Amino acid sequence: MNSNPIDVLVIGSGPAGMAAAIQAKESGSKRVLLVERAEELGGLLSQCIHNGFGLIYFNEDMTGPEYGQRFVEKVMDSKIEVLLETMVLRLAADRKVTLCNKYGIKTLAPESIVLAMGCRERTRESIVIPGYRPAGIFTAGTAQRWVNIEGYLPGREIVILGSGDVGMIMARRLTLEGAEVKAVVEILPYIGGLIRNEVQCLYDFNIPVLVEHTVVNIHGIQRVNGVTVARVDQNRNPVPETEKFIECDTLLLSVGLIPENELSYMAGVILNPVTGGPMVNERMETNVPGIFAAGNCVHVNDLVDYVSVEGEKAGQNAAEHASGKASPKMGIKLEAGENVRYVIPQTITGQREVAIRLRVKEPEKDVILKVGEFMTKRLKVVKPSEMLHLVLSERHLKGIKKGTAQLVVSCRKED
Amino acid sequence: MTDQPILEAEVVIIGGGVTGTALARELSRYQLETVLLEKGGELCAGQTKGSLGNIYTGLNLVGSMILKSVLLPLGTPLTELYHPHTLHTKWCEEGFKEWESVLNELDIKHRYVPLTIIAKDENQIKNLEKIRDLGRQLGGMYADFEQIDREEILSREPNVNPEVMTALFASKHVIDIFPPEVAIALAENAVENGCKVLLNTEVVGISQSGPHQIVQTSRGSIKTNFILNAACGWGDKICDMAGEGRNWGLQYRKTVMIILDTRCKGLVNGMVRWPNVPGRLDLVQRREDNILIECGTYDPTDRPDDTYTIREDVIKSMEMAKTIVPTISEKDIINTFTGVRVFNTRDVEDHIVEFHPSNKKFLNVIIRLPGIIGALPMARHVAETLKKAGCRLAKKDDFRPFRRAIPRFRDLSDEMRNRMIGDDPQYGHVVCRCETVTEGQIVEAIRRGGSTEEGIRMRTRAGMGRCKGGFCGPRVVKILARELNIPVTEVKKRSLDSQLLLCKSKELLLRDEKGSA
Repeated sequence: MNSNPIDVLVIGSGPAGMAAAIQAKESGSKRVLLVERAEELGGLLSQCIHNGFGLIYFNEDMTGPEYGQRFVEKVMDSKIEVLLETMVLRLAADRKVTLCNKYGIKTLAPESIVLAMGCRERTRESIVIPGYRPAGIFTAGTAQRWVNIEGYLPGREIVILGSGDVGMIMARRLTLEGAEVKAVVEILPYIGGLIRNEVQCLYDFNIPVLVEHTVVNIHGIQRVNGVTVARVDQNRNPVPETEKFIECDTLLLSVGLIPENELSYMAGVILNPVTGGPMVNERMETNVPGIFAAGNCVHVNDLVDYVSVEGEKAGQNAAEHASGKASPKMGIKLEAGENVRYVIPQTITGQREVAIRLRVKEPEKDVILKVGEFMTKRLKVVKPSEMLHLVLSERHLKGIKKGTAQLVVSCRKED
Repeated sequence: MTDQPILEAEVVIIGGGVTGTALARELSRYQLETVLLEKGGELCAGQTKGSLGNIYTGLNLVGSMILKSVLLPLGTPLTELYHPHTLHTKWCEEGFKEWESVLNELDIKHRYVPLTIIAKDENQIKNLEKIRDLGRQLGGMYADFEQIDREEILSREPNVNPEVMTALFASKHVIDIFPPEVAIALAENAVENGCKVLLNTEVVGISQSGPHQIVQTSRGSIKTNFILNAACGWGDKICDMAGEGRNWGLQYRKTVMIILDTRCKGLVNGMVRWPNVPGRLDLVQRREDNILIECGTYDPTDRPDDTYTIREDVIKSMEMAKTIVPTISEKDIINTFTGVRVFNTRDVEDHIVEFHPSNKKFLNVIIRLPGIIGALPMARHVAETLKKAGCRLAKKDDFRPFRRAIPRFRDLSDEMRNRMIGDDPQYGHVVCRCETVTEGQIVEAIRRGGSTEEGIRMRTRAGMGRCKGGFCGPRVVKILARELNIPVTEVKKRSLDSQLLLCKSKELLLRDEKGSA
């Protein structure tokens, strides 16, 4: 390593991190360091061997590894420094980063940092499914790693709790592997993931779906030998006498993703309780100067393409910060209003064009999406599983009254 | 059974919990062959694993005495709960002092945590005063506490329920430990001194062969002179194998425990509890860098392995925990588990350490809770008992009392870490993000006998954090397969029938093609 200071250090080499590092380099940063805890670049893309990636970013239908490879090659070509099998042990508010790998412990002080740690899966423990603690309970993503990277099957007869995208994709994957997926069980009245996965992974493979159901019991002390499912009422509580035993040797969980922010927390980055990720402004900068964030560690995105775009934005602004450019003042807060779960970014300047992303709380038809009083958009269908995108152009922003401190973003049903 | 014994020993210990491992270490001071048998794939697979842990004395012991009235009629006067002459009380009092040095000898991670018994209403204050008065009456370490007011409570434990009015406070009555580490440390030191430990070895029968006894196990038979039954919850079944059955009346009581994320570690500084009432335990405690909650009743169950977690218990427990620390949140739960406590109804207050009525070389060592505190005096008592029964106990000259823990990378300074990585680069490869556990630690745990996913977890903490092995799980399994030189599909979660991965990918498809499903 050379002795010049690092301009931009990116933590995590998934789609957000790679895009951030590439963009930081392209924006003129001399030294960009990309740090990855795993054995190779790409984050979870390497294990997502299904297609559907890149439709927006590259206008091509690609697999996860193909999508990732485009970025890996750019990282390699653009003289970005890469450290693999390297864990960030500490991150401080003054941007001191302590790294650990087989060469030792090192503390660096980069000008800018991009947090791109992605997300982790909600576990059986965190949702308190009753029962014993046998072998045979896997999160869907861990099962995906076992099948696609390591080449082992977690089981032969499988029940999947939760209909997140990874769960549905694993339902298809395991069916193709010769395992029997006996049911996908979803507590909500609708499927949790993307419509295309619902069709292509579940319906096309005749996988039984039980909505408004949950797993109320896991059987087996040493290895799973079955689960009991039951219908739930409107409050998501199991309805007595609707229990049904399903024999299986494996339970997969696809019950939600949690942005990974232990490092952000250490550095004093303020997290949004709804997204679980840092509060960011339109530059993807957190409350800690010089610390930026992008991708699933900010909020769990629906498509990887948007993660890459967010990464680029963070990378570019991290480079600008590293070159000493002062941050513009973020004067206006974006508040989540009626039927809006969250809005990213949480603050904007109101001076220049900005793209915002949001998710709704409940599915709804024929709605009006409103930003403050100056922008409205009619939408046929909204679903919590699919992010909504809006661009506030300079023309729109001119409609903001002087002195406005916050804008409410709402998604109301049309009268 | 006519098969040749695979081993011969002077003493066989059945059960690898804290009782069995404390016995193993004690006997390893003497020149005799000792073999410890554990049916699980790792030590402390039963009651010890699911215990609240802690090594405690004084006020908390008073609390525990009240707790034990779980099986007594309500309204039993508190003073009647103190039985100075029971082995239980004697060993607890002796044991606490002894652990203070043995924890260091065995390099077991431990820390004194302050105990605060809080009260917020008249009824609780009445219960609190009972504990206070009993403590004072007993004197000595029992009386080594102070009563503090609301202001002081909140300065010591700022996050507790602001409605508290008074509390009893003792700074040196509770030592926070991780129970499996205690059993594993005792066993490692015993092995270092010549004891043999066999995992995955279930006792299936006991027979006589001349002057000897034959212990038949799932892995072959072992010829021995003496047998120590430390099988705790399974102790009655083991005892019945050695001779005619007797009515043990073992009772099993289960409680749920909850672990919160390390992010919450500042919620309490030590153990904070409501005053004990018979049959209930309500406490929130700092356990290493997590928060441990045990709030609930001791519910009867008919099996010692009934570690089934009931959702309603978790919900109720959380509600109660919030009355102690209002900011506790379900969002921070990273684990829930159920422990089973074993009582004998013949003498609820006490342990049973006595020879089988018809077999004078078979000693039952059935310990009631708390098992860890009194384990060291218990083991000495058993050695004495064996001696009296004719077992030749000659002290070894070269007994080594010290054990080094697997390096706790997370707790080391960067300077120390760098030194370790310099010596062995595997210590620079962090495998478990949540708990900062390195490959070097995992390899060392395997070298010391860890052979299952759960074993590695208990020995190193890998997979014990918030993601529950989401990232490190596959990596730990692969390291196990590599170091043990076994196929990945042979790696177990804990016992032999807890296979993790059922087959290689494509295997099901190939089987289908051959037409043999």
